[in-house]
Amino acid sequence: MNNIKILVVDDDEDFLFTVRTILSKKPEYQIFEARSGRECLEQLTKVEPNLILLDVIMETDIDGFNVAQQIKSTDPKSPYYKYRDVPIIFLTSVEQKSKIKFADKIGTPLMPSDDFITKPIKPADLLQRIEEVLKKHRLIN
Amino acid sequence: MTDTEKSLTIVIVDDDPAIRHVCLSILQKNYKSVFAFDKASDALDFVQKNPVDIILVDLKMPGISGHELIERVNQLNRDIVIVVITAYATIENAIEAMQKGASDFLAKPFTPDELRFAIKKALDKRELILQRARALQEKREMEENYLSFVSHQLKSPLSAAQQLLYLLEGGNYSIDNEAHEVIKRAINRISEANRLVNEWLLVSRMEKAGFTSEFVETDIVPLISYEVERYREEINKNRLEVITETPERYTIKTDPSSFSMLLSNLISNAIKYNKIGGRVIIRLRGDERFTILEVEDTGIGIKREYIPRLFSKFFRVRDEKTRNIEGTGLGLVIVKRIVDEHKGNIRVESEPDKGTKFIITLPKDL
Repeated sequence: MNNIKILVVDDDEDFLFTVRTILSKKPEYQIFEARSGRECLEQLTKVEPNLILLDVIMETDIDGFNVAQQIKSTDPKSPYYKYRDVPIIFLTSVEQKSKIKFADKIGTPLMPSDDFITKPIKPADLLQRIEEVLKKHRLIN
Repeated sequence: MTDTEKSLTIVIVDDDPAIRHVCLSILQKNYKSVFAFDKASDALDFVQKNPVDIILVDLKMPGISGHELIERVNQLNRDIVIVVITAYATIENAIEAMQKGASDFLAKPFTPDELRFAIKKALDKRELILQRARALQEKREMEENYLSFVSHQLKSPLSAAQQLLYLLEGGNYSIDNEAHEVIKRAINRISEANRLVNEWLLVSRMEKAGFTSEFVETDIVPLISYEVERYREEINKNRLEVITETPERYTIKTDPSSFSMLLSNLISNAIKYNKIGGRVIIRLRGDERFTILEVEDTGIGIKREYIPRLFSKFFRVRDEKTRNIEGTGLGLVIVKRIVDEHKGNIRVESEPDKGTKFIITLPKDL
């Protein structure tokens, strides 16, 4: 696939700017942005992204955990049912204590994402983590 | 009389039916919830199950005495105002009752006005107690908000700034070597601040609520290698040799994330305070009763006089050798706290210029 739509969700303008700048180096990535959980769900149905980078703690309406749970819902009646397989990478700035717990719980209802990234992250690491998840989901070779 | 005053609950405990009757008839005119009991045990039962503002207690009763009731009520809820009513209004009795927590004394026989006045005084006292409780609650909330204030207001911008510097450093901008060096230094200082904020938050949280750890059977050998790998860059940079002497598997009851944090702090210290080309030795062994974990380094060591202060908050050895080593002075505080959580103990053996060994002993049955 040479056009990969990535939806970046974060309430921090500077973080969005950084991710936008990093990802724009890759012409195959098309970037969409949302600044809240609600906006993320709106964009999801409109843009139909191939990957979501989702901030866990947002000061606006619904947080990332909740958004991910809605997207990953296995209830056929869920409005986001058709997007349940869209990979999600959580963005967190939690301290180390929770980090390992996160790792343990990836892919479970408690941690409904495919990976998580601890902010701040180096540009090269961010690109690599995205690539890994895309490969795992056979979106790139 | 205000509505709040009317809605107060008053309890009378006296084995004399005449006194109960008099109190009820006087007080029920002004207050909605007035209850009378002839036995202390029934009153105690009521206090345990219902919110009560004021209790009038007769000192001399069969069964549980008035003095004992005062003591028990006070243990249950210090905010309840207790007024003693007794025909034996001696100084000795009064003092004893006051010592046990009564706040006023009403001598039998009393006039309706004396009773009303005693209740009025008790209400004022109760209002003061509640105000104080509210003020304390507000103070607690403010402290908690202060924590989340620091967490968000300080953490987010620090993290964003570090993120922007990372972008500058690795984002294909045309930057010469000198500028790279400047950026690298700025990144180091900002991550130091980030770490400080995180650790400070962690320690304050631990002090306030303790760990909310769930202990589960965990194989800690992989945790050790995971933590060592996290410091691979520093290990290689300082040409350190890391030796781990552990069984293939070793399970203990622990909270994996706290235990990782303990390992992380000890290993990073053993790396930071080492010498170029030095060694870090991690030993894990156990017998039937204890698990023993040792983290040893061949580094700069610690002077004897500093050892007792190692586990105090924000303490750092400051001399020529440690001047350029970054740290928050909280790492060992966190380690000690985690060891305590396991009901274990931690010891330090150190010799300046030779190295330091931390020995942690954890009991197997918690």
